[in-house]
Amino acid sequence: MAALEVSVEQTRPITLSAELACERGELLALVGPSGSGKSTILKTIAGLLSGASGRVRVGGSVWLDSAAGVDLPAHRRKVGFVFQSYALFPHMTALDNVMASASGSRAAKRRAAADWLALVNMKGLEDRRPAQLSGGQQQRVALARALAREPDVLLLDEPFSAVDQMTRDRLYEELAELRQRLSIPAVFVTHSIPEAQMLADRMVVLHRGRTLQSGTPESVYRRPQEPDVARLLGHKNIFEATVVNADEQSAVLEWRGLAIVARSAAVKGPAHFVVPATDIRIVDGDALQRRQNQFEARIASITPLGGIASIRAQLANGARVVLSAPVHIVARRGLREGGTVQLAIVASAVHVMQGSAEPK
Amino acid sequence: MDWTSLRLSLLLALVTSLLLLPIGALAARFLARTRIRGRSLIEAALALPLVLPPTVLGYYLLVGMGGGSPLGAFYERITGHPLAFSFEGLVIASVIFNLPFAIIPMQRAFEAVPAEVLQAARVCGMGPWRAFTRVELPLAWPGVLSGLVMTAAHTLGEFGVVLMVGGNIPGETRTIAIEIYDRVQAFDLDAAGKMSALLLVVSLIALGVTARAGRGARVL
Repeated sequence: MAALEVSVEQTRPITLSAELACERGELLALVGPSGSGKSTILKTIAGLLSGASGRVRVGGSVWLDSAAGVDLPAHRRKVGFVFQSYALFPHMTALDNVMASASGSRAAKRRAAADWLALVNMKGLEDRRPAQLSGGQQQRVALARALAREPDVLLLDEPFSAVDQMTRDRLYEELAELRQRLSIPAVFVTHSIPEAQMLADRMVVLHRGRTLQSGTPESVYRRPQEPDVARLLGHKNIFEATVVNADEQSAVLEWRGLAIVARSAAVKGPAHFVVPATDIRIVDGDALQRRQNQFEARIASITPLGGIASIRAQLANGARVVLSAPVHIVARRGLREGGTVQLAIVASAVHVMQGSAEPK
Repeated sequence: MDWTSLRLSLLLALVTSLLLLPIGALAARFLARTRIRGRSLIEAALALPLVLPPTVLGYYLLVGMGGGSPLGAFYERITGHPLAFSFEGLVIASVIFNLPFAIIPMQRAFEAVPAEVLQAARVCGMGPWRAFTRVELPLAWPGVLSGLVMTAAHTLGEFGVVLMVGGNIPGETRTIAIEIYDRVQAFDLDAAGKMSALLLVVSLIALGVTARAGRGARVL
């Protein structure tokens, strides 16, 4: 039994069909595009939405069980919530903001609030009002306020979306450090895959109100269950093919006239496969000494972005692949738009998925 | 210069404002957050005193408070004197015709409080009432205050409704606005001028305070 178990089934105000679980001390990322229902799920856990339908169980206590008529009001759920807008009380100082969620005598609250503010590196700024604090500082106060509640679960709604990149990087580090001390389940919402990969132990992919897949960020990225998940995670190389031969170690797919080797496939017949842009390599060599999964391609475009170039290339079978390579490699090999290049697709990175034909 | 009528006007303004503080704040909070269907209709009804001629409003209030109406009859049975043409009747009329002046600024102020801030209050462990008194009301306070000041200023200046409902009884219902009218009718332009100037200054101060409170709201 996980420390936090959530299942939501509703059609209003938005359609949700979501299930997630989070262990003590675990940081779970809820990932999906805007409008996918991420925030709604968080607010349902916190009891901030009326008419929620489903179950929320935290530790031994049931917060929501609409079938049994249980729906604890928000102020009786021990939840720490960091809002996207931080939602600090503008008429209170940083210290008063944190004290507002602490419990005990006034002196105890004051002490606890000061400690939490010190923990998030806000010592010395206790008497400032939110309007006198930077975005990053407000975020820290919001986090301290959430933790001062001594919550049974910590919820963070796009906590890094409203700060600049430098502040964000520092906040990442601070959160990574802080979570070592926390022994409660924590869920954060993000639409940034890199953020989830960097911070989360596990992630849950949400699309149109439905939880599609959960697992470690690495495994979900490497082995998406369906093309939708792959697309949401930013994969560019998603293709239709047919599994012609599969065993424990590997599979061979017929890909519009080409044969491509993949790591084992669980499906037979029509399928999709996905390969990360970083696992399509530029190789030397001529067409005579072909390696496994080596294909000749014509370069359609080269887009340098920072030190990495994104290269679009068309294979003999008409398929367009996207790969990325360091800019200096592109220069050394003399790659140019319209030229040809030898590509090798790493077989162990080719992941085969169920092949339902979906609308483009 | 007749201080009785000024004192009466100030008392009426004070009592009206004090009554409209809870009535107005709660109604404004309700209208700011509710999503019920009849909301527009309620808002329209509350704004009626802004557009109706004071005599029309006064007429309905007079009929509503007269001995023939349930309210008027009930009041007379309990107190022994009629509600119309009394200070109490004037207070009721004053509260009603001031509803839009109190509620509209208050409602705008409650609407301006971000929903997430209210949700934050709840997840901090505050129950609905505590969240209202500790977070929502303080944040909306400049607007609430401005509604009260508008009410007070408007009460000092109201003429038509007061005349219809209160008549013109010295020390009971003769407010300063009516006194000024009386003095002009009696060709005592000197006294009318002094009282008019006084009312002008009081109104100006009230509006100045409101503007200041409004700026305070933006600084917060």
